[in-house]
Amino acid sequence: MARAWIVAKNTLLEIGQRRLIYFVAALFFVNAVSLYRMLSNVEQAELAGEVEFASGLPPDLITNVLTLWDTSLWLLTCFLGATVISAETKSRAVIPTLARPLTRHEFLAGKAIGVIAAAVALFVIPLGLSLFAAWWFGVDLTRGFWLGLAQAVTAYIAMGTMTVALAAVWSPMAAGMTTLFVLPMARWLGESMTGAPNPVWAALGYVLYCLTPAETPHTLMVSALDSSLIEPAYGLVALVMLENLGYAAVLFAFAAWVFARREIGSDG
Amino acid sequence: MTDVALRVTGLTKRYRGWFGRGVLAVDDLSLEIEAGEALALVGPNGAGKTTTLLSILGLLRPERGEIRIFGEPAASRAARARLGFLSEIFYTYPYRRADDLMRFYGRLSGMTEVALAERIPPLLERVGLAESSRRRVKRFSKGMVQRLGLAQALLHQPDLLVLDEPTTGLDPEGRRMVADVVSEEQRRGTAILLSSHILTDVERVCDRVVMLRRGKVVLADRVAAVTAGRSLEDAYMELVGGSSDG
Repeated sequence: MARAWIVAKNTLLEIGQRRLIYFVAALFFVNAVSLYRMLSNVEQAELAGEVEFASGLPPDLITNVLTLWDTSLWLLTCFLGATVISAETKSRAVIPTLARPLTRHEFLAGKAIGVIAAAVALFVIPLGLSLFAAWWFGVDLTRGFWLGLAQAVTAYIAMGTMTVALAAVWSPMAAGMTTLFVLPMARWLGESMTGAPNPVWAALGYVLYCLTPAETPHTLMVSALDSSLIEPAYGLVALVMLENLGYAAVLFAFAAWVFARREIGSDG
Repeated sequence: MTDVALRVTGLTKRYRGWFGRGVLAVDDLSLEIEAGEALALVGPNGAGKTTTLLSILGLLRPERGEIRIFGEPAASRAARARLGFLSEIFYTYPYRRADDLMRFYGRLSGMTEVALAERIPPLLERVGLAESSRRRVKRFSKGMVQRLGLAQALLHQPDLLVLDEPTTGLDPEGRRMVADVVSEEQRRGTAILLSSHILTDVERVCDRVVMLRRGKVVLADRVAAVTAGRSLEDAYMELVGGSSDG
């Protein structure tokens, strides 16, 4: 497994070459605009004596920053996961790498770890900003906030693993589309079909529902710091996270098995 | 432990399309290379040389036949730990520095940091890249990339060296260097499988030659026997001339 880490480090370096700095800069710009607007609103609210309204703005800012980064990184993870293997097979750099005593499983695991590490490393930026803002404005960080962070990281792990796994056996476009659209739609379709009066359709719906990842019942980060809301079912959220990690692991194992039998370099 | 570094038995590989029977790239190829021996695989474009080499690396799955490296199946980790490979063009990660890239390949081969620190500088010196060791590969010329490819193939001191047209993109000095390195490795006891179109290089460094034409072996003999009274190029033209597919 040590070799998988070597591949992961190389994948991180490769991702670093993709000018993600523009992506990060764009997010920073949006965050800076949000911060400026929020500070203006706080100032105006305090001047107007709306103390309660002013105190509600910093938690909103924190959740907005985290949600924006979380959604963007979720899409970025999907994009990186879908393209990280094809980039290497297209450039044929994979040939001297796989000619080394490295199994295909290790190679694939290294790619997935690299993609996940890139997403998590980028997530540290908004997390650091948010923790600083929480300390600065004296915002209490709730249980929902920490579970929301766990939910975000779990999503990167599951998304990164699933897209790398699918991209190892399909084209990058098919892998990305499947993870982003086909699987959620299939889950929705399956769920709808389970209530069909025809038992065959209902059974098919049940199979489809079982073959797709679980839907998170509540995106915690959006309302993590909203004290007026009733606490969501944390246990259920944790269970869904575990289920999706398991789903990603099974998909990865299957894809690795197929990838180990795939021919490499036959196009030249 | 066996003295046979590489044993290919009845290798047959067909590239299949969606329809039809596909293209037979290699047809019932058998060869053996012993430790310290250099064997050349020659033939026109499309003769099946690269397919054979990629099958030896375990990257292609033969339709029939068996490939063993020091008695181990070709695709196994144990086999690849003893194998060094350089392709026609050394495809690699251009964003990495030369010494860093060597460390990457060395670590994948299970080398320790101490071994890497001892091995990399003299090896880069040997291939003429000592002064460029801190430069990124994307700043290298084609010839420099190929020299780096040779260095990574030799890094873990493999017992079997598989070289697919290793002198592509090299100037005469670079070609001489490759020939010298191959000869040194052979003296060290390394078995060498060399695929090349440059028959003078083959004559210079190889003990035996296998000529392929449309995937089939048309000649397998000692270089000295083939070149008795004629050049290898004359023998080549006589046996496989005019059958180029590419």
